[in-house]
Amino acid sequence: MRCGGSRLVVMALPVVVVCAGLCAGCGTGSDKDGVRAAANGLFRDVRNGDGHAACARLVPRAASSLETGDARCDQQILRLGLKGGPLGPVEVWADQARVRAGADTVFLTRWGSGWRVTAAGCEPRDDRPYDCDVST
Amino acid sequence: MRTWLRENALTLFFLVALAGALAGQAFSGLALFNERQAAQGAPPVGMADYLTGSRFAVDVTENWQSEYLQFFLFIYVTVWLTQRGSPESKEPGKEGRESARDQKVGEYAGPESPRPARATGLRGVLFANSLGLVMAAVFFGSWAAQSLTGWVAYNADRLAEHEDTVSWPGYLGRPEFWNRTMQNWQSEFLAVASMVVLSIYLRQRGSPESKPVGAQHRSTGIEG
Repeated sequence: MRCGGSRLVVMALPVVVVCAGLCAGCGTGSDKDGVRAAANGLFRDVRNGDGHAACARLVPRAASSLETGDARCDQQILRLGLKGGPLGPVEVWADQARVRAGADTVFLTRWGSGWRVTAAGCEPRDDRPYDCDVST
Repeated sequence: MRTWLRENALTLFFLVALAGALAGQAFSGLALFNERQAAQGAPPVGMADYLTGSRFAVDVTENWQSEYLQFFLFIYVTVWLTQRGSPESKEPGKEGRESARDQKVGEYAGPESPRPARATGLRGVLFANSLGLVMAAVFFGSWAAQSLTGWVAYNADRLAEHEDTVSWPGYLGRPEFWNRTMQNWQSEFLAVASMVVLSIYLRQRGSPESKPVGAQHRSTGIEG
């Protein structure tokens, strides 16, 4: 082993780290498919009146945000009027994602091998976080 | 083999230390990330996912760029600026690129000088500045890498807060990018200034980074 080999390893490390970091940020095709499936599933469950299934697609904090007083998530989520619509382009940044569904915007986070919704029924506001019907 | 180890011990020590510190950063960073996941009721992520993620990459590259900036600046600035009494400095009066004779370049290169030291033209200029150029290239490369990986991590944080994402040029104008950058730069500049000044008055016996213990405080450019 020559010292030049060690130097090569040191010089190559930044390239490896950056490529790994950027590739993770791009979002693969399967990431985007997973995001679309999770968002479509939420709106489908709401349309079908299946509040349990819809709430199971939310992260725990988003689900518990709907449980105020005696209200339960599976009842409340059906009253929000989440309609969705044709899905627009999916944005995936590391472990977070966003997709537009008609007039709504849905935010998601990676959850194990799949994706769960952190916010839905969202509308943009100037220079502030989106205003969402369901949020963490 | 023993001779080789002895002749390369300094490099090997720091490469092993680098690997150990990177491993430590990876394990502690993963543990911290999974603490936050647990607080949200989210499943933990594995080491492979964490190491290939933008958050680990930006934490690594923001430190690397500042270290290479430190060395790149130190190499270049010490050509032109001096500090009386510091072993890190040339004698005042020797500021500048110095003569071909002093630097043993071109016709003044000796038989044991590296071949590019004899070269004229671009090849000679490149070799004569190769240390600074490589440090500068790694600095700018690491800084660019920090900006790209930081951009990915920043946009992930914005989506987690249910905010719009920003473009890469937009990220370069954000406080997040400059705060990450400046907090690393200030510590490097402090470390260099401390080394330059403290080495005037303090000694470390046996270290080439220090003057000999008995050297005068005013002696400049002498290494022990």
